[in-house]
Amino acid sequence: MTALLEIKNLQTHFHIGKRVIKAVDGVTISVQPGEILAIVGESGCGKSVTAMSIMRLLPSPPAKHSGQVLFEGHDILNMPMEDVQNIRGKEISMIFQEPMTSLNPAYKIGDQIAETVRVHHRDGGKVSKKAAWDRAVEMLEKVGIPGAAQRARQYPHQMSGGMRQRVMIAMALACNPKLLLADEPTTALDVTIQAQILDLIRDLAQEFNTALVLITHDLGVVAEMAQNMAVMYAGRVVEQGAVADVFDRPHHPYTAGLLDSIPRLDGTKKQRLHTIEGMVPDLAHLPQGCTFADRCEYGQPLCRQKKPELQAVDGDRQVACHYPLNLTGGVHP
Amino acid sequence: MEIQLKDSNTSDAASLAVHKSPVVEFLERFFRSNSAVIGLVLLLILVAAALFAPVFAPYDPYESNMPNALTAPNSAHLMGTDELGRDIFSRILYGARISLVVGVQAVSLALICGVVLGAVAGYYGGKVDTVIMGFMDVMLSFPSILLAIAFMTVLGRGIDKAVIAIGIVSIPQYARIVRSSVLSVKENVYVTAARAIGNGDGRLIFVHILPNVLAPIIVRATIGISDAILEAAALGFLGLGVAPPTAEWGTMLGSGRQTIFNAPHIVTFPGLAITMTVMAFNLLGDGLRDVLDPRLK
Amino acid sequence: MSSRDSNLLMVNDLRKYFPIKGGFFGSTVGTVKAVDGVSFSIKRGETLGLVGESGCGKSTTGMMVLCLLEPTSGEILFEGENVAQFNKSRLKDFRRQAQIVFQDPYASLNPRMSVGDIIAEPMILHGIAKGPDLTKRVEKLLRLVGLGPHHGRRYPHEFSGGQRQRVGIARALAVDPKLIVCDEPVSALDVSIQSQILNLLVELQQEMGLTYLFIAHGLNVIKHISDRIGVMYLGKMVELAGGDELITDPWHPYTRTLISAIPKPQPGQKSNRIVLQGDVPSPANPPNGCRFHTRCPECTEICTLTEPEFKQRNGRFVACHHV
Repeated sequence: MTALLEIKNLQTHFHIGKRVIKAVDGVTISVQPGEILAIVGESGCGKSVTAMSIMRLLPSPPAKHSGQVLFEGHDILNMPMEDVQNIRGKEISMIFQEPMTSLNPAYKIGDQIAETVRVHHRDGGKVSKKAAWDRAVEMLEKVGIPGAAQRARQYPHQMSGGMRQRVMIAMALACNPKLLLADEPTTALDVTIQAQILDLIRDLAQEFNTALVLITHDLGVVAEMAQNMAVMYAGRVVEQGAVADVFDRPHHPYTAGLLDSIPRLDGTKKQRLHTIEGMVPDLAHLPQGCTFADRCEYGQPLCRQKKPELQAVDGDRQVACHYPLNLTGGVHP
Repeated sequence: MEIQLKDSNTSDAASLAVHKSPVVEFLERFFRSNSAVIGLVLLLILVAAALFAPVFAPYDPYESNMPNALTAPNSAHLMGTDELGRDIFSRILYGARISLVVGVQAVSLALICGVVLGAVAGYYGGKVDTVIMGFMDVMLSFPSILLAIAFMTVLGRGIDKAVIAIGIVSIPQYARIVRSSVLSVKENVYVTAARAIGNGDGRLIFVHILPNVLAPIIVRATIGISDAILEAAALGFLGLGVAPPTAEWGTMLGSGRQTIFNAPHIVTFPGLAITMTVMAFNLLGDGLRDVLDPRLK
Repeated sequence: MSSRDSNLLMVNDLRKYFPIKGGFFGSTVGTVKAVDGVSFSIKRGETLGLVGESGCGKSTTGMMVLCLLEPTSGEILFEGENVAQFNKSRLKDFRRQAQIVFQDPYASLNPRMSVGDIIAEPMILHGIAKGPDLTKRVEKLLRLVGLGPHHGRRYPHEFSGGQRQRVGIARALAVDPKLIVCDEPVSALDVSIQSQILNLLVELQQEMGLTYLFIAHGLNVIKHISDRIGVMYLGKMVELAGGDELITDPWHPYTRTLISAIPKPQPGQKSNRIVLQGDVPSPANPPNGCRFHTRCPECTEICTLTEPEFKQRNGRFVACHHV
């Protein structure tokens, strides 16, 4: 099976004055058609910048890309902007974290969805205004908005946060894209609404046969939604694999630390939580060796000298660590 | 070694290296801003001219010399002489004193009143706010120069009276800026935090709120000095400001207007002086706006 | 009397209504019932967790407990004294005993003050220390929260989120308080930093015998730190019980929903999630009867008509007709 999206050694650096901020510093990821891949990491790890780079949404300068983002074999980073615009919204769409600011307050929601439909059918046969509007209403029904025909005539401020996120999903899926990028789609929502939206995204991705890249900081969301996951730290992917495997046997000390740090509902009250001491490194002054070495409880001298590359271990798994944990058959030094 | 590196106290060695005092940081940003530096240089020239006027001035600015009246600029009189034969260059140097004094004093007066009124209105809100800001709005509904003229007619002529008139009419501008800044700053959680540890209203306003609204006030005040100088010149031009023999730029401009066609230098040089001063303060103000804007940090 | 002694804080039927201004001359066109009849008590040394979704009134409750917001009605007894009747000097004294840690570590520190000054300020205000003694105490507090004395000279923008939250905690501890209201103290932090702060709060409580009112929307965080948990929905408390009981045997349907809605970090264990229909109703126009009945999977006719009482049963409290 050929990959739908293949990111090869993507680097996105921001040049601000004399400083170079390496927000994304060597990300390699592939997404199969229909797959749900979660990119997980803490703030500043580069997960959102990766998504923005895929869509080429970052202003350049200051952003500078290198590497390849192959969508169906074509490199988005080297495409003329016109072609990129044809891909945006039609082949790849995006949902953002903030449902409050990602809709234009000046237009009815139905018109905003219809507009997306019309823009992407300019070359291949015209879509009448009526047909586009009908499609908008149909999409609003699909995302579970009651009274869709009336709701389509409303403005964003007349809807709640959860409803707006549904509208964003309707808009993103209106052109039947092959890939949906969801950047923390439920972080701003309450937990009961989050449950609704997550179910909706998963069901619709299946129905439309859309591949989903889900960007999140919440390991619970990853566990419930995704088949595969990539863990990012300081601009790099440190671990990749099937979700069940990674949770069961994390190979990278950062992944292991992250999993242990979450307070569990069935945990013992006030018991000391596992911590990862220290802080994320400054992206303008990344260390020479492993970016996690300073905080790693298993650090060795080699970790400070040489950057570990992402390499295959244990069959389908990949990890960027000189001394991976929990290897089958292997013993940690 | 390992343990030490994991300690959160030492792991931020990188941020230790970039630690700078706020003053150093301000100066660094200031000198990176072109307009701020140009404004400052122009302003320093003006201040030097004002301070050392007796040293630099080749003639007594008040000594008339009728035979020499209306001479065009030459080597003896760099900027020529006026209708009474007084040296215009000397008069402009002395005039810098008056303009700067009027500008700075008027703005200080407006600033003190405006900050107090604006802070009280913004902090307490409700009826206090309605009354204070209502009064300010009434003042703003007149063109400020008209109000200043009205004040001058009541108060009479003189530098100190010009300062009071111009100061009073510019209070509303400061009150408005301070009020709106206070309104947004007082919503910050750190103000609630300060209240939670037992701060009273006075300390909340002066220690926790006002220092955080300084940036827009400083910018406005800098540009405000140029407005005040312009207004003082306008009053002078209309014959309401500083009384005639005094070397004041606006008055010089006003008295030169009869001879504008046969001796244009009489109005040109005071006009240039006013323009340069206004530009100095405006450039400085714009530069400070960039320097002090926390969003650009 | 003895029960009153063991309770540091008692809250009875607390309400806060915010007027909605509208119309031409700012007339009141309605009220938002942010908190509508909440009662609970906290024992000395105990942590009471308040959990609920945005707009449920949990933060408003915290602000009223600290006299930072005036209640519309109801009483708050701190060590048996009604805080509403405090005069100015007694209120200042109260501020020494009850402190707060805020959610957003970026907004809760004055950007113009050095961290040392921020921590010293409460001690100066209350005349606790001055001169070299003050410097010594600031250094001690910085160390207590895991920072170094050299951090005192720096300004908030030089710190990361987790470090700022440590500064916020040091400021709260400076007056040696009895009660600390923690208003979402870890919600803005990353997972790895969140666990550091939670550990710190637990350690400080054990060392100094602090009492916490811990407000959060994350049930797993609340469960970790609390002795007892109160669940709030639309300005009302719907259930109050010991942490373990509440999670393993929730009585109120809303509590059950909340527990099932949290995405669990255990792949493969597909939870039989209860997905609620619709949004939280507006607190300006709450439903009649039980506030939860519009979304409740177990709603019957009585729920739409009468409001269930918040009743005690076997040492736990619940407000539901169908327990």
